[in-house]
Amino acid sequence: MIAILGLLIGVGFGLVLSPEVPLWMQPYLPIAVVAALDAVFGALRAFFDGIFDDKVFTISFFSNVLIAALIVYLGDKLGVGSQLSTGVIVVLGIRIFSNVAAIRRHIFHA
Amino acid sequence: MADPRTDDRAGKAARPPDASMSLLNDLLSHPVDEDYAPVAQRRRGGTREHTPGGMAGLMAVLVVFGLLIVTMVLQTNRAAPAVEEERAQLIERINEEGEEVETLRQTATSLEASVARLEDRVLSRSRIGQALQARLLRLGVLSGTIGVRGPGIVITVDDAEDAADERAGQVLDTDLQKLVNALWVAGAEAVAIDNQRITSRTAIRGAGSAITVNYRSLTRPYVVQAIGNPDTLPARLLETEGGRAWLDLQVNFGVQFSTETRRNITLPVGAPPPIRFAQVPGSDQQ
Repeated sequence: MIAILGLLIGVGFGLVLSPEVPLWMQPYLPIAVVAALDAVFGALRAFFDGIFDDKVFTISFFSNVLIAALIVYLGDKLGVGSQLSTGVIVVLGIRIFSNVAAIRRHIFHA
Repeated sequence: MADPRTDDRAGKAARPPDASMSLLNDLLSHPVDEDYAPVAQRRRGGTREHTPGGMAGLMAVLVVFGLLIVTMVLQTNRAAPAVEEERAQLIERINEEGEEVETLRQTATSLEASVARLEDRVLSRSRIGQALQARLLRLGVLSGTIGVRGPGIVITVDDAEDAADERAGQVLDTDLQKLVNALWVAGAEAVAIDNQRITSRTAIRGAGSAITVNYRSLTRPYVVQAIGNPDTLPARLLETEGGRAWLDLQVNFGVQFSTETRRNITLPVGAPPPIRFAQVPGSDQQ
């Protein structure tokens, strides 16, 4: 309940403020968003598994976002930024898929 | 298990030896953050308490998450029309400039025609003028500033048909240069390649994979038209150095080369840029 409320507040803030993304942040934000998505789906699965913990979620969310941005930053510095971004997206994509599959099994029992 | 290194992390039996290498396996079998499981394990005895701090943290995280998503979506939406608009503007400008060039070209053509008419009218009044007119005509034919018509030959050249060795069988800009020079030597009075008149200031050169004449790119096959005596031109062409070089190309590399004579060939005006600075020494013209 409180989660959905928080999400709605965040979306509302975003729509009202519609913040301009600073230029230096633009390469990292998409990856960070995907990492955040991964953390949220992981949390949702853990919730259905009955092992959800808000502290773990909070920490994993921020560390996921931070590490994803860091990897891209490092890749940029090493000259393999776009390749590394692709790698991160692939890994996170697989995780999101299998998490969503687990959630689906919980909800539809299929 | 008596393994002293038994993992105390949740539900982990003895690890297979390739555990650290099987990235995909790992990804598929443990998609949940490993952290949830051990924390749950540790807490198994106690009850799940909801601390206000944890709740606030959860709320904050989700606020941040919603904000991130919306910001990203808005950002992407904002960028898309800008890119599209820029593209459309560029296309529009290209079209406009193209039209402008076309209009200017038409103006230039009509002005040239009226200059020629006025010139004719002035010159035809006097005897000296008529002599000048004849000379202008002759020079115009040679320099390519006048369109011409007459008998001649049409040579069609193309790359070798079997593309086994593509590079060797290709018609190069130097080959066309040789051919044109050979035609002049053989007595051609006017030459054009793919309807581009060869003038004293024409460049035949390769630009990337295409050959340009008068700065226009040509496409294969190349049609070389030459006005001259159709009875002697083909034979004399083969006697020249360039003609022999072309025979060589034909025999050794399979480059296609065919000649036919025509009763009537029309060659267009070559449009050399006007001479602005060069003057004939001793002439009092300014």
